[in-house]
Amino acid sequence: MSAVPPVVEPPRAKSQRRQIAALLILALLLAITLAGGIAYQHGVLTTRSQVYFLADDATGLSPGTPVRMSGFRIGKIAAMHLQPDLSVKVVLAIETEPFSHLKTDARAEVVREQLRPAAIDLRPGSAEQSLSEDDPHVGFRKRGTLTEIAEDLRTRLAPILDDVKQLTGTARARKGDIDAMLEHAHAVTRELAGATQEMHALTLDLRNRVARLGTQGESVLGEANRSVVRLGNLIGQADKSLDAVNTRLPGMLGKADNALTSLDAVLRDARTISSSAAKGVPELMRSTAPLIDDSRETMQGLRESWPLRSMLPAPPPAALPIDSHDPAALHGSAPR
Amino acid sequence: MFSATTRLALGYSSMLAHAFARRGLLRVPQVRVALLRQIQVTGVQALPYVLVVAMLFGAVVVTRALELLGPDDDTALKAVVWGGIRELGPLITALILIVRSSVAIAAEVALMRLRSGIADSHWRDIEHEEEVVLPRVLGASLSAAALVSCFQFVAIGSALVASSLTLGTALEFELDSFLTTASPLQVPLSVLKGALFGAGIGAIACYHGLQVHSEVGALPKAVVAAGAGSLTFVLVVDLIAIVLLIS
Repeated sequence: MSAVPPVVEPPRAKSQRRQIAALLILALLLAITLAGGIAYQHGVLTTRSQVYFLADDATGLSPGTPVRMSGFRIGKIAAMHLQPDLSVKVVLAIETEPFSHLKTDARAEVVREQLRPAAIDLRPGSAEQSLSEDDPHVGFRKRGTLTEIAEDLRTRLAPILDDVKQLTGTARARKGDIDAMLEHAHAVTRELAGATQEMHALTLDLRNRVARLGTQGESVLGEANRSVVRLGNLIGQADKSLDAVNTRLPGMLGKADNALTSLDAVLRDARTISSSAAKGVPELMRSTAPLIDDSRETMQGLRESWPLRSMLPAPPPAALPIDSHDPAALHGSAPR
Repeated sequence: MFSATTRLALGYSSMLAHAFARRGLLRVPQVRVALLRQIQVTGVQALPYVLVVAMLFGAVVVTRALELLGPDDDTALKAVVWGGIRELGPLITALILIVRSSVAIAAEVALMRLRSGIADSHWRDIEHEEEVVLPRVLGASLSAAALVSCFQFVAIGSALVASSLTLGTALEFELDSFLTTASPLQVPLSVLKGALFGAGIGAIACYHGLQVHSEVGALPKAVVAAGAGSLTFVLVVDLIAIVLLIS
C-alpha cells in the first residue's frame, strides 16, 4: 500500500461518472417522489384536526384505520387510549376542512364488510351548532358486518326452523286427523260462504233502509228546520206583540182603573136608584096587571072590529099549559 | 453442517466488518475508481434489465392477482398487489443482483487471486487484497439501493396501468388507492433493505472469491457458493425484516 502507482483515468471516466450520477440522482428523485406522494396522501403535509369518540371496545379498530366522510378519505385513527372505565377513547386525525362540517350530533360508525379492511364512516350530523373545537366529542355506533348479521339471523332462525320441523313431523304423524279437520273446515267454509252471502244481502237491505231513513230524516230535519224558522218568526212576532203590550198596557191599565172607578160610581148610583126604586116598583108592578088586562081587551076589541078584523090574521090557538100545577099557568089569568 | 454454516456466517460478517473498518480507503484514488466501476457495472449496466423486469413484474402481479382473487373484491386485490409490489421489489432486485453481479464479483475476485502479480491494466486498481472488498461491497450496496428505488417506481407504475386497464377504472383512482394503502415509511425502508441486500451480496461474493488460492477448479465452486450464499442471505434478511415489521 506504500507504493501506489499513479492512476491513469480511463478515457470513458467522465462518461462513467455522468452515468453513475444520473443513476443515483434518478433513484433519489423517484424515491422522494414516491415517498412524498404517499406522505401527502396520508396527510403528513396537511394540517389536521382531531375528534374523538368513546367505544366499548377496540375490536376492529387500530391506529391508521382510515376515516371517511361521504366515501372520501379524510383522515385516520391517530391514537387509542384505554379509559379508567375500560372504554376506549379513539382519537381521529382528520383534515381541517371536513372538520368545519361536523355538528354537535356528528357520529362515527365502524364499517367492516367481508374481506375489506375496517374503516370509520364519519357522519357530519344535522344540528345547528358546529362541533366544539375544545371538546370535539362525536357519537359512535358499531355497524355489524355481513357475517355478524348472518350469525344473528342464524341464531334467530334456527329455533324457528326446529319448531317448523317438529310441527311438520307432527302434521305428518296426524295426517288423517288433519284431513278430517280440513274436510270439516271445507264444509264450514262453504256454510260460511252462504252465511256471508246472506250477510251481504242483509247488509244491502240494511243499507237501503238506512238510505231511506236518511232521506226521511233529511226531509224531517228540513221540515223541523222550517218549523223552527216559523217558530222563530212567531217568537219574533210575539216578542213584538209583547213589546206593544208592554207599551200599551200601562195606559190600558190606567184606563181600566178609570173605568172601574167610573163603574164603581155607576154602581153606587144604581144602588141608590135601586134602593129608591125598590120602594116604587112594587106599587107600579101591582098597578100594571090591570093595565095590561085593559090593553089586551082593547086590542081584542080592535081585532074584532071592522075593518081591522079582515086585515089581521086569526090568532093562533092558545097553547095548553104543560102542567096543571104550572105556577105560571095558575098565576096567569084565564083566557076569556 | 452447522459448523460450516457458522463458519460461513462468520466469514460473511468479517467481510462486512472488513469493508466498514477500511472505509478510510475511499480516500485512495484507486479505490474510488474501483467503486465507480463497480457502481457502473452493477447499477448503471443493470438498470435497463431491472426496468424491464420491473415493468413485467408489475403487470404480472396484477394479472395473477386478478386471476386468483377475481375482479369483484378490488380492495383485497389492491392490498395484495400493492403489498406484494412493496415487499417483493427489493427481493426481485436482489435476485437480479445475485444473477448478474454476485457471481461476477466472485469470479473476478477469484481470478484476481489466481492471477495476482500479473501486470494487467484492467486489474491495476485492485492489486491489494484489502482494497478489493470495500469498493465492491459499497458499490453493490449503492447500486442495489438505486435499483430498488427505480424498480419500485416502475413496477408500481406498470401495476397501476395494468390494474386500470384490467378493471376499467381511472388511473387517478388506482393511484389514489395505492397511495392510500401504502405507508410513507415503506419507500425508505425498501431502499434501506435494498442497500443491505447489496452490501451482503458484495461481501459474500468477495468472501467466496477470496477463498480461491491456487486451484483453477476452485473458481466455479466459489462462484456457485457466492450465488447460493447470496440467495440464502437475502432470504434470511427478508424473513428477519418481516418478523421485525410484524412484531
